[in-house]
Amino acid sequence: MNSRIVEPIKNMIVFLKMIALLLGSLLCSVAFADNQAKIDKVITHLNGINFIQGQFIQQKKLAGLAYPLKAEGHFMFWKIRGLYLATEKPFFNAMTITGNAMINWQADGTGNVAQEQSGIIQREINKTLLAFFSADIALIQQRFSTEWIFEKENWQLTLIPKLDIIQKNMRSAVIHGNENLQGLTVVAGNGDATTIEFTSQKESAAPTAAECHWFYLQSQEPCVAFK
Amino acid sequence: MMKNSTVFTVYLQQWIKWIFVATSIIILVLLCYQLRHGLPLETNLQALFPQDKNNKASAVVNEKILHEFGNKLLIAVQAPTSNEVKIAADMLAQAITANSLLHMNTVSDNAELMLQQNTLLQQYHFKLLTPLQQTQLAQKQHAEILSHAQSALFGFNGGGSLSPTQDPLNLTPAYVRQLQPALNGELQNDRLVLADEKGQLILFPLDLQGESFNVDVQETMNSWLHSVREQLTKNASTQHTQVLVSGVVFHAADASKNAKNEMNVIGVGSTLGSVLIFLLTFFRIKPLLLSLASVAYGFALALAVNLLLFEKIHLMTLVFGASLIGVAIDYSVFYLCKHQAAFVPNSNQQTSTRIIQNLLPVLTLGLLTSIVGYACLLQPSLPGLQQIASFSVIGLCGSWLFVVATYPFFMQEPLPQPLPLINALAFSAWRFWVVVTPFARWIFIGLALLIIAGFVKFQISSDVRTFYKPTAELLNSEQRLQQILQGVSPNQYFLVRAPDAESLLQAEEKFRHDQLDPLVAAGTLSAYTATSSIVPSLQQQQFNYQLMRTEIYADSALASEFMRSAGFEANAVQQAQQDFLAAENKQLNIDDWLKVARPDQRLLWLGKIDANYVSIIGLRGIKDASVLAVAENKTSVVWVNRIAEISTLLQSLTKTAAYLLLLAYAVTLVFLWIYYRAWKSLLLIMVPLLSTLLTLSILSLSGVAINLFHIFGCYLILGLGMDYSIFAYIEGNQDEVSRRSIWISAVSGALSFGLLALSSTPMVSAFGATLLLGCFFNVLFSPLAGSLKNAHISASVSL
Repeated sequence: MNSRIVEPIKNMIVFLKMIALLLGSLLCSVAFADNQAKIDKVITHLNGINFIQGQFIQQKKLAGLAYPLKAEGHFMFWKIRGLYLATEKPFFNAMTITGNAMINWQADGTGNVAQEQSGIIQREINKTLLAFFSADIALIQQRFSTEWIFEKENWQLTLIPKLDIIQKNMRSAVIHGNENLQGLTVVAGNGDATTIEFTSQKESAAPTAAECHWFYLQSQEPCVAFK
Repeated sequence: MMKNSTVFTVYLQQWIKWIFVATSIIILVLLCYQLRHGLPLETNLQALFPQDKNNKASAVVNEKILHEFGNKLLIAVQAPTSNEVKIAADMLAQAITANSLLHMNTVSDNAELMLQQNTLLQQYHFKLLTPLQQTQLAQKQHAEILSHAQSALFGFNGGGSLSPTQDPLNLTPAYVRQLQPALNGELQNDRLVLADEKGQLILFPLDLQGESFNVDVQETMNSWLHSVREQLTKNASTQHTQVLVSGVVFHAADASKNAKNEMNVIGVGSTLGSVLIFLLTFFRIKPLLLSLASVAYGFALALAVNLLLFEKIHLMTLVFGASLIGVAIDYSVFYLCKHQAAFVPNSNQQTSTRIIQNLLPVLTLGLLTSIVGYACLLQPSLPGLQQIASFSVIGLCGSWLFVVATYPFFMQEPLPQPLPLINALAFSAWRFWVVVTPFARWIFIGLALLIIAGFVKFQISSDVRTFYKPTAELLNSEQRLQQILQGVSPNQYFLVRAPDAESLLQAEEKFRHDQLDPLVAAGTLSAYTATSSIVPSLQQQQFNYQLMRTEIYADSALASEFMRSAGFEANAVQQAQQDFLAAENKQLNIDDWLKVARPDQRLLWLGKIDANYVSIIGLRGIKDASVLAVAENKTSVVWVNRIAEISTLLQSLTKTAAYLLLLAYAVTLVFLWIYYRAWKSLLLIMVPLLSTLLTLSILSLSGVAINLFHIFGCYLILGLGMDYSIFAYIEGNQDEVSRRSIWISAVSGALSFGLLALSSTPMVSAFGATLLLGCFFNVLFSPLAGSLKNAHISASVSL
C-alpha cells in the first residue's frame, strides 16, 4: 500500500489509543476515589460502634452434605473487649472471643478458657473475626488481599489470606453490610462454609452489667460500673 | 667403669643416628598417608570419657543435634513496643537479605509440612486420642466432649481440621495441636511475633550457608552482627531494641574471637619473650630454631604414632599432649648451654660429639623420669588420658631423639657467651638460698603451714564451664530465646530403650503416664515431647479405637446423639459409623510419621542402635532436674543429664589424674632408686613435689577449685622439675652451665605456658596458672637438689 496513505492512518490509531488510555485512566481514578470515599465511610461508621448486639442466624454447609446445618442465637460485640456469640438453637453453646483468649460458657453461666486458644492459627482466626467487627482495616489489610464491591448503600468485602499457612485453614472470608455489618461467610480450608446473618442489631455506648459479665472470665469488678 | 660407659655411649650414639634416619622416614611416610584427607580431628568431649551403653546413645543424639541444627540460627529483635519491634525487624530483614551467608526461613515454608502432618494424622483419626480425651471418654465426662463439639460445629475453628461428617466430635484438632508448643505469639507478615512481660519479639529462623566452624564464616558473622547492632542503636526509632542470637556459629565465633585476641596478646608476648631470652643467651637464631625443631619433631612423631593407634586425634590431646612435649625444650637448652660453655676460649675444647656423649646419660635420665611420670596416665579405662599420655611420651622420645641425633651435627661452631645479666639472673635462686640459709628452718615451717592451709581449702571443681564459657551476652540471649520459645532442653532428656519399635512406644507411654504426667501436673517441668504422643503404640491405638467404639460410635452413643441434635440426618450418622468401622485395621506407624516429621521431631526417634530401639523424650521448662533424675528406672528408661554427666566424668577424671600423679611420683622414686642406688637421690623428687604442693596450695588459698587442667599442669611441673633436679644434682651447685640452662628453661616455660594464665578459656587459664607458679617454684627449689651432690654421684655419671 502507498505509504502516504498508511502513515496518517497509523498516526490516527496511535492518537485514538492515547485518548482512550487517558479517558480510561481518568474514569478509573474517579471510580477509585469514589470507592475510597465509600470504604472510608464504612470504616468510620463501624469504627464508631462501641457496643452492638442482636440476633444471628447461622448456616453451615459441609462438604459432602446436601443440606445446611442451621443455628440461631444472639451476639454482643464490645469494641474494647471482644465478641460474645451464644447459640440457642439447636442447643445452647456460648463463647466469648477476646483479643487474647477464648472463653467457653456453660449453660449455668460458668466459663473456662478454651484449649483451642493455645494454637497460633486459632488465635489468628479469632483476631481476624474481631477485626471484621471493629473494622480494624490496618490488621485486615496486613493479613488479607481485599476486594470491595459497592451497590447503592450495600457493600461487600472479600478477603483472601495473604499467608499460605492461614489460607490452608481459611480459604476466604466475605463480609457484607450496609450501615452495620450484616453478614459474614467464612470458607474453611476443608471447604466447609459458615454463613452468619446478623439481625435486629442495636447499638449502645456500653453494655449493661449483666451483658458485661460475658466478657470477663474471673474478675467481675470491671462490670460494677455498668448499670 | 668409666671407660666401659663411654664405649657404650659411643656405640649407642651410632645407633641413635640410624634410628633417627629410620624414624624420620617412617614419620614422613605415615603423615603423608594419614593426612592425605586432612587431619582426622575428634572434638567431641564425650570421646575422652569411657563409653557405656547410654553414652553411645547420647553420643548419637549429640551427633544428630549437631547434624540437624549445626547450621541453624535463630536471630530475634526484642523491643518494648510493637512499633519499635516492627521497624527493627524490617531493618534486620534487610540486613539478612544482604548477607549471602544467611537464608531466611519464613513461617510459610513450614506450611506444606504442617499440612502433610495434618493429613497423615487425619487419616488415622479413629485411632488417635489425646490423654485428656481418653480420660474424658473413659470417665464418661460426656458433657465436656459435647460442649467442645458444639463450639467447634458452630464456631470458627482453624478449618484445617476434618469436616464434622468425618470427625463429628472434633477430636482431631486437639491431637494435632500437640505437634506445636503453645506459644503466645501471632503471625505478622509471615513472621512469628511473640510477646511477654519483657516486650515484643520477632523471630527469624535462618540457615547458615557455610560451615559454623569455618573461621572466615565466623568472622563475617561477627562483623555482620556487630554492624546490625550498631545500626539499630544509632537509629532513634530502634535504640531500645536488643538483638538476640542463638546458634552454633555464634558460639564458635565467640570462642574463635577470644582465641584470636589471646593469640595476639599471649602468643606474641610469649614468643617475643622466649626469642629475647634465647638471643640474650646465645646471640644466634639457630639455637632457637633448633629448639623449636626438636619440639616439632616430637610433635610429628607423636601425631603419626597416635593416628596409627587411635585413627583420630582428639583436640584435647593436641593441646595438652603438645604442651607436655614442651618439657623437651630442656634437652635443647641443656645441650646448647653445655655447647656454649665447651667452646669458651681457654677451656678444654670439646667436639660436639664429645658433648653429646657426656650429656647422653643426663638427658636420658631426664627423659626416662618424664616418661615414667607421663606413662602413669596410660589408663586403658580412660581413653582421653590414654591418648594424651601416649602422645606426650612418644613426643618426648621424638624430641630427645632429635636433640641427641642432630645437635652434634648442626652445632659445630662456637656460641658467643651470654650477657652477664643472664648469668646473674640464673644465679638468683642459688643466691636466695645462700642469703636465707640462716632462716631455712623457718622458711620450711612457713612453706609447710602454707601447704597445710592450702589443703584445708582444697576443692575439686567439676564445672563443665571449664571447657568453654560463653560471654554473658550470648548466654543471656540463648536463655531468653529458649525460655520464650519453650525449647526442648538439648542436654537433659530421658532415653528409652526396648527390643522393638512397638515395645519402645509402649515403654514411652507407660513412663509418660506413670511418671511424666504427674511431674507436669506438679510443675516440675512445663511439658514434654515424645514420639508416642504423636504415634501411639499399636496397643494404645487399639485401646483408643475400642474406647471410641463404645463411647462415641456405638448406636445411641455420643456421635449419633450429637449429630442428631445438630440437625444431621440419619444417613449422615450411619455414614460416620460406617467410616469408623472401616478404619478398624488402619494403623498409624512410625515410618509414615518419620516421612513427614520435622527435624526436631525426627530427632526423638533414634531407631535401632545395636540390639535395641532407642528414643528420647524431650523436656520443656525444667524446674527441678533432681526430681526428674529419680524418675528413671535405669533399665528401659534412663535419665540423661549431659551437663551433670560431663561434670561427674570430669570430677572422676580429675580424681583419677590426681591419683595417677601420685603414682607417677612413686614410680619416679623407684626409678631414681634403681638408677642411683642411693637414698639421698630419692630427695631429688622434692623439687617437683614441693613445687606442685605449693602451686596447688596457693591456687586453693586464692579460692580456685582445682580441676583436671591444673592436674595436667602438675604433670608438666613433675617433668620439668625432675629435669632441673637431675641437672642440678649431677652438675652441683657450683656449675654455672646447669644454673643457666635451668633458668632459661624455666623462664621460657613460664613464658610459653605461664602466659596462658591470662586466657579467658578457663581450662587454658588453669593450665597456664599452674605452670606459671610451678616453673617459679621449680627454679626456686633446684638449688636444693644441687646441694645433694656428692662424690659417689659425680663418679657414677661423669661428664
